[in-house]
Amino acid sequence: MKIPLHFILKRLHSFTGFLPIAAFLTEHMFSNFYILQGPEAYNARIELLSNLPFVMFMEIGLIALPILYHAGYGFYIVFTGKDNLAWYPYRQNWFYTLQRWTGLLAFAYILFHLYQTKGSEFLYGKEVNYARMAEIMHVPGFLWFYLASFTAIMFHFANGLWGALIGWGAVTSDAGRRVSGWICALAGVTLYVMGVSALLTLAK
Amino acid sequence: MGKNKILVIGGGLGGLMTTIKLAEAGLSVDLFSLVPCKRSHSVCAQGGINASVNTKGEGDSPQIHFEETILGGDFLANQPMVLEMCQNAPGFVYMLDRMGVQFNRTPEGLIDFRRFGGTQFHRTAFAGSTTGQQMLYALDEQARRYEVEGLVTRYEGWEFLSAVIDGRGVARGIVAQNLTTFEIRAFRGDAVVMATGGCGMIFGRSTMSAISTGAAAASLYRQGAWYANGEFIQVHPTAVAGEDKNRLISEAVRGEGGRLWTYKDGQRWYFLEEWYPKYKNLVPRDIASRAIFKAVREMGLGVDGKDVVYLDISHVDRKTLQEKLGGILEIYEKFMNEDPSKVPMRVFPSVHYSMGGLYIDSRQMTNIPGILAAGECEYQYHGANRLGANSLLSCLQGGFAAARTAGQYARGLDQAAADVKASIFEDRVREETSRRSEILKMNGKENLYQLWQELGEVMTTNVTVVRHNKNLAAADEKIQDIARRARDINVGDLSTWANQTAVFARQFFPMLDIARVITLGALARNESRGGHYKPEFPDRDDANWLKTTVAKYTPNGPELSYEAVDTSLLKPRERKY
Amino acid sequence: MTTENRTIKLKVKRQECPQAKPRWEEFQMPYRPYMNIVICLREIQKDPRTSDGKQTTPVVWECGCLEEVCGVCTMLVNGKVRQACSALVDEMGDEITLEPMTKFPIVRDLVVNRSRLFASLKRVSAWIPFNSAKDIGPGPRIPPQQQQKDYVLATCFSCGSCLEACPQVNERSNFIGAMPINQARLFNDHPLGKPDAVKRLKALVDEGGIEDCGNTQNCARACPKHIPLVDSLAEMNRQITRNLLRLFRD
Repeated sequence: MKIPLHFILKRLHSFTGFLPIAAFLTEHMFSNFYILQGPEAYNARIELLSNLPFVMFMEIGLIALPILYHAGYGFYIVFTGKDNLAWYPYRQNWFYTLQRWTGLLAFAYILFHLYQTKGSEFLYGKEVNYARMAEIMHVPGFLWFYLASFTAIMFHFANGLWGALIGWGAVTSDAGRRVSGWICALAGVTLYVMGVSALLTLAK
Repeated sequence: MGKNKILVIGGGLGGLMTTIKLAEAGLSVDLFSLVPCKRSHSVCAQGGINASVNTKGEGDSPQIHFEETILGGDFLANQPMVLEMCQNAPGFVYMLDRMGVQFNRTPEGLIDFRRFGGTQFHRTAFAGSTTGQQMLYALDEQARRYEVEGLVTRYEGWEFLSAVIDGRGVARGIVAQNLTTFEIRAFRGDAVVMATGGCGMIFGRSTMSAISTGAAAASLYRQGAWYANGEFIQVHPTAVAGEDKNRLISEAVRGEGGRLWTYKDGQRWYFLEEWYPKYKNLVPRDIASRAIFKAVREMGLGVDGKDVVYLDISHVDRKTLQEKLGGILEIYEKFMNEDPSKVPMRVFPSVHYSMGGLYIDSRQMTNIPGILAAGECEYQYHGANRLGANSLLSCLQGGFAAARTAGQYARGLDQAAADVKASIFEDRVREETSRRSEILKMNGKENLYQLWQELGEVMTTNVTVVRHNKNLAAADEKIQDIARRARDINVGDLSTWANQTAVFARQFFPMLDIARVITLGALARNESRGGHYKPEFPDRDDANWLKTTVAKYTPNGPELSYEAVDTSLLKPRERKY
Repeated sequence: MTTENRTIKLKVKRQECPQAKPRWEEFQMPYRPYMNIVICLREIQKDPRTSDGKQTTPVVWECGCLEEVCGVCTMLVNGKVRQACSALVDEMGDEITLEPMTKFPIVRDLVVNRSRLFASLKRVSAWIPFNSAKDIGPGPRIPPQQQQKDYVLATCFSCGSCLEACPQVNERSNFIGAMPINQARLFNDHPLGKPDAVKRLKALVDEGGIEDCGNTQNCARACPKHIPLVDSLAEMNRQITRNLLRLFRD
């Protein structure tokens, strides 16, 4: 039979959102949480991660490429939609539109964040550590941008996860959607609180 | 070549049943419908379909179903066809079941049956409160399957204009018009099956769909097809009056325990239960409608002095209502803004169904060889009054029998329609095209829709539940007056693209012909039988009127003649409930 | 609320034919209780003049059953998709706009061509693979619970509201919308529909199929028959996930 390419690409988009992107996001927020324990703990954590075997391969193959694919296909999805909030201002329709805008913002943020961390390290030799991140967070514009982006990412994460549960058929009833919705929201808020508390600690 | 082609006109239940049976027999079908088949008027049938399956062990049988149908129709139906219908009924319901119709179920998973008017048995299979819709969809799906297999071609959005009849008087095809592009085209067919539904629009407001003008059958009547028992129009006792249409509240409501009442001396008065202690609220429709008229018009007991009585279902528990009557109650709530599970519904009788229609023989063939008819557009099966839930059944039986006859007829032709000379088709197309131009040029003073409203008022006032000869004669005068004025209408739209006014103007003239058939048939029939009631002649008169009215078109109006009724299976007796 | 002297203003988007430019016309009529959009449009037919007294052609629109079971009179009333017959003036306000649906090719005025809906029913084989209309006995027993669930799915009257309200249905996408997906679920659920179940799933994973769903859930909100379309979408997603390998075989 003819391979349903469209279907495979879309499901791959959904799958990459979960694995590895959501998994990486979770790991990242946990790592950032070390910031609350002070510079030493955080720097040790960075040290630990950057000494993992095949770190370069993992960063590119398991993080960068999936994000690029998820974002690239996401752009295509944004292009094929035509939102209609004006006539159908339902909560879920808002989420649909927000999912697209937060995706775009998240991607812009990720590029900028990469530039400020890996990019600066590569271009100007500014090592990524507690001090460097604290330096960035002391610029109010950056802090606000990070806070806004965190909000967007966590919404995108929680709503995307919830959508994937429907998209893969894990949840098929109204009650199931309600319960899983709360669970996804809780997951998003947890990561959000962890992330934001790290940011605010750095900005102190 | 070699494969016979049959043209089926109408995509409702009758037409689709015909189509499926023909396709199943390997014949090729062109299916014409004004609207996508799924939007045909059959969707409006709510209550169910009768079949004596006797699941409830009450001792019901097709024979009893037959006898009650004949009695319900006041002995005017030809009996052998009705018997066949009742015998086939269980098979039809099982067929629908295998097509996936979502019939309500008993706890054992069997098809459930409920009570309906004119019987004391649970005989009516139902799918919620949209049985017609569910049946129509199932047949539409099967027709679509045959369409994919290449046996059926659909022409949805095409209107039948006239039949193409050759020099020997044999039908060879039809001329139809695309309602969007206005293309007029001839289609060849070895047989033509009319399944074009009822004519409620002649009464302005009825429970029927806006497409149920009866114009197709009426156009054929103009071409020489006979029209039988036109005067028998069913007025359904319970509908919600509306300015655009009267919305049916199914007999199923009474089948599930609904009660009709109005106030008398400040008390609730259940008049049907008092007058008909055996059948109570489930007397046949003609009797219930007359009872309401008696209570409201004669005794002046309408609710708030208006044309309203109460239909009360609020005592039945909510779950039963939801499962068995959900759709109906939702409609009532939507349009009337009152919850029928809490307050009684405000109803009044409304024109609902036409027992009469194209004359057909015992094989569904009209008097024009090659043209058959099935469903509400023909006159067999219901006599002077149709029992509830027999209409869906008669559509299936009609389609089933018409397909059988059409196949035999087509195979027996010595010359196929494909080999008939082109000129008779071209002539017909030319005639219809010039008729179209004539209509588009009409720029007189009258408004078509205004005239239609007037026609509806004349018919509803004079030719429904209670009929007086004086009024019928006056109504006929008025119809003729409207016909005269209709020649002076202003179409007001010159477009030949989706021009609805032009379409309706073309339909309106044949509608007026049938209005006269109904009115004059009623005027002539000096007795009371089934849905036809004259206070001047309150009794059934078998000696003089146990016969079928047959109307033939003449330019000066219908010419009426009469034909004996086949009562070979059940001797006419007094109709008492 | 007084009923005297109330005037209804009806703004109708008109277009003679697909090639013509759309334009707006305004009509006025006296209010009457229980008035719906169909009654308003019929008023115009009886006297086709705009508010400023200009003679015009009657508005072209479709209606059928007038009790919300045929689906034909679907249009945008005050911007939102719904059936004209059940749109009561009392709920719509005294100034009402009428437009044709936007997700289907325009025919004229308020009439659009919805044939794609019926084509999509072919795509998903929305029928029972039925063998014979002969008298060969009943179908399988079906528990009442299942009948109650499936009956609701079967009440879809192909109005197209779910497509109209869906942001994913537009000229840049081929999405078939929720309606045929719900039909696929209905027939996959029926014991006699199961032989074609995988065929239907394959039809759903093709171009423009279920993966184009954007999870706005507008379809379920817009559905006049309250069909749980989101459940249907999720259920079909589940069946596809479960049959992933089978979908690629043969």
